[in-house]
Formats: sequence, structure tokens, C-alpha cells
Amino acid sequence: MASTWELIKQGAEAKVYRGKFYGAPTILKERFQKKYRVPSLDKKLSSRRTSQEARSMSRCLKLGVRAPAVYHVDLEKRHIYMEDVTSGLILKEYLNCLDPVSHSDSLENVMKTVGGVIAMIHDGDLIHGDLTTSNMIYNEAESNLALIDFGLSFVSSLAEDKGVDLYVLERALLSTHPDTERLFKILLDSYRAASKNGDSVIAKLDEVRMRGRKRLMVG
Amino acid sequence: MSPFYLSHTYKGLGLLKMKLETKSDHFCTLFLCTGLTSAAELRRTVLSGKLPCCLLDAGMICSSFQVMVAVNKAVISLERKKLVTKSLQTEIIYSLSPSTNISESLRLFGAKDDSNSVVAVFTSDSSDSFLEQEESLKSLVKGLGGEVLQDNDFSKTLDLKSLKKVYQITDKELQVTTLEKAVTTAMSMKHLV
Ligand SMILES: Nc1ncnc2c1ncn2[C@@H]1O[C@H](COP(=O)(O)OP(=O)(O)OP(=O)(O)O)[C@@H](O)[C@H]1O
Repeated sequence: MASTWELIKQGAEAKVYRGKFYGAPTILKERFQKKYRVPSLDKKLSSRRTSQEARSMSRCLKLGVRAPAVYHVDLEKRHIYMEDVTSGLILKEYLNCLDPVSHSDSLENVMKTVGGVIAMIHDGDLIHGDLTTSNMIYNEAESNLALIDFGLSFVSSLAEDKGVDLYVLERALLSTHPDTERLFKILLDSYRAASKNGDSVIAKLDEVRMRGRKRLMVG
Repeated sequence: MSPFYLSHTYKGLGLLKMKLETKSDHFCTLFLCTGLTSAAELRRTVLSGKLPCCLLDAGMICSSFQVMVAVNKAVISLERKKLVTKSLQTEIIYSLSPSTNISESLRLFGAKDDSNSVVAVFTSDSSDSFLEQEESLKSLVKGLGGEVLQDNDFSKTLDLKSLKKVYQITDKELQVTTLEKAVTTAMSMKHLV
């Protein structure tokens, strides 16, 4: 009768399971122990990381942006039990299903939504840290977006950190989808319109892009 | 109602081959009791040890899930010998609270003498005794002019305003999540580092 947990992902930092927690559809994320670290140090660092991840989910919800609710955190085991967000598609899959020509309205809509959502968390000084299309769940019917995987998130008010957050997403989009330059521009316009200081963040994004390009040329 | 099985978290992770910290299985059942003229008598019976349960102020409870999450936490603390209160019963009350202040937590979430509605929570390492305990709870509650509800519909007894205040839940977050989920999220923030 004990509940069963299905392993759905073995990532670099954590194992992710899907199951039930007192009846609720739940995702269980278990951060690994790092074998090469001194155990006492590892314990401290991974407790902090696990705490930060859970706290960011709460912060995100409080900013009015969908994220998995937290059900239970076990710092000793580095476990986070969280809501299984089932009301949509992973954005990556959603984008893969769209034809750029016949679905251009849908594509523009989702880019606007993503831009608006990122502006909301950034206005609350929440940096996601790993904005990729795998870490967003999109519900087309309600055009709302949930963010997941706050494993690299942190709090910062610096335009630089927000710019880098956007840069990560731009790179992720460019590598997975055609026609992204135009789409990312729609996203940025929506970000700028919704955000408190969009201009300075986007100026930073430009700087980060330049640095990235130089690095590419050198490397 | 059927008892919840404390599907004890760790048991479900058998595939990880983790050593189980549970020394035994745990079961839990809960009842919403309403229409009491006073909860004083009920509290006395519990304090005397005749009714092995914990009594919550029903106004602060929005769902069974909220209670189960608290019981889960309390049982884990018991197993790890890390109870911060004197018993599993009070630990359940404390686990509901977003505050680390014990007396404040017990005051906010425990049933009070003048409570008209309470939630009675029974935990045990077997569910054998539940039927008997349910009967004694029912007769006690009946004697006090109240009834034990069959459906655990907490919306009838919930004090929404106080609940939102204690857990610091905003209308903004309720646009993107449910009350129950906002509550467990707030409960989970308590012991983070
Ligand atoms: N709350 C959730 N609701 C629904 N699905 C989820 C949730 N959390 C995670 N997933 C699913 O599990 C996958 C992996 O989760 P997550 O990205 O948190 O793990 P990770 O190990 O940190 O990943 P990465 O290595 O990419 O950073 C997600 O891509 C998603 O498909």
C-alpha cells in the first residue's frame, strides 16, 4: 500500500520522481550527495541549496507567477516534495508541435506570455538561473505559464543578473527553434513593456551578448 | 472515513535502497467535530489521556491534506528523535504553524476551551484501535451538543481571514495557486536554512 515513485529524470544535480503524496500528484526532487566533498560541508551546502530552491518557488507564487507549490521539504534527505504541474505542456514540446508559418499567432502569444512572466519575477528580484524551454510549462487554453526547476535560482536586484537570465533563455531558444531571432524580439518587447526597468536589463543583455560573442570568437 | 496510510515517504523510495528510518508503519485518521457548546470537556478528556488524539482549532484548517502534511512532519521528527515539543500530539499542532515559537503555535492551532469546532487527529502504529476511538469521540461530542461530520468539509468551519493572516497568504498568490497549496508552501518554509 506504500506509494510508489517513478524515476522520471536522473539529472546532473538531482533525481526526479513522480508519485503521490497523501493523494496529491507530486514531484519529488532529491539532490545528490557529492561524493568528493567533505560530508559536513556537503551537508551544509546541499541544505542551503535545497532551502533556496524551495524558497524561490514560494517567492515566485507570491509574485503572482505559477510555480509548483511546496508540499514538504526534508533537509536531512535533501528532498523537496512539490506539486506536479499537469495543466500544460513543457514549452519545448509545445514549440516543437507548432509550425512557424501556420501557427505564427500561437507562437507570438506564447512569447508574449513568457516575456511578461519573466518581467514579473525579475521585478520581484527573483532570478531563475536556468531559464530554458524545458523549465516552463505552458497552458495554451489559459495562456498561462508555470516556471519549474528553481535549482539554480537566487535573489538579486542587479540588472546584470536579470540580463544573464534572459541571455540563457535566448541561447536555449536559438539552439532549439528556427526563426527565434524574431520570436525573441517579441519576447523582449513584452518584457520591456511589463517590467519596471526593462531598458537597463536589456542594455545589460546587450553587453552580455557582446561578451558571449567575443568568447565565441576567441574560443 | 478510511484512515490515511502514512505512506511513509521513505517506504515509497524503496528503489533507492535507503535505510528506512521508520521503526514501524504509522496510521492517521481525523474527524471534524462541530456545534460544540464548549471544547473544554473534550480538552480535559484528551489531557487526562483517556482519548489519545490531538485537538486542533477547526478555524485554522482548510483541508485534510494540510493536516496530513503536519502529521507527516511530526512523525518524522519523532522517528529522528527530534521532537521540539513534549509529545507527538503537540508536535502535530506545532508542525501546522509557520512560526517556530512553540507557545504561540499551540495557541494559534490548538483547540481552545471556547472553540465550537475542533479537528481531532488520531495517530497510531496500527489502525486497529481507530474504530473504538471513533466511537468514544462520537459519544463525547454528542454529549456536548455537537456532531462528528462524515465528510470533513472544512469550508464550513474555516476562518479564512485568520488563516490567511497567520500564513501570510496574499490574494496575489491565490490567483495562481489554491489555498491548500499556499498553506503547505508556507508550512514548508519554517525550517529552511
Ligand atoms: N513540478 C513539476 N511539475 C511537472 N513536471 C515537473 C515538475 N518538476 C519537474 N518536472 C519534470 O521533470 C523534469 C526534470 O525536472 P528538473 O528540471 O527540476 O530537474 P533537474 O535535475 O534540475 O533538471 P536539469 O538537470 O535540467 O536542471 C522537468 O523537465 C519536467 O519534465
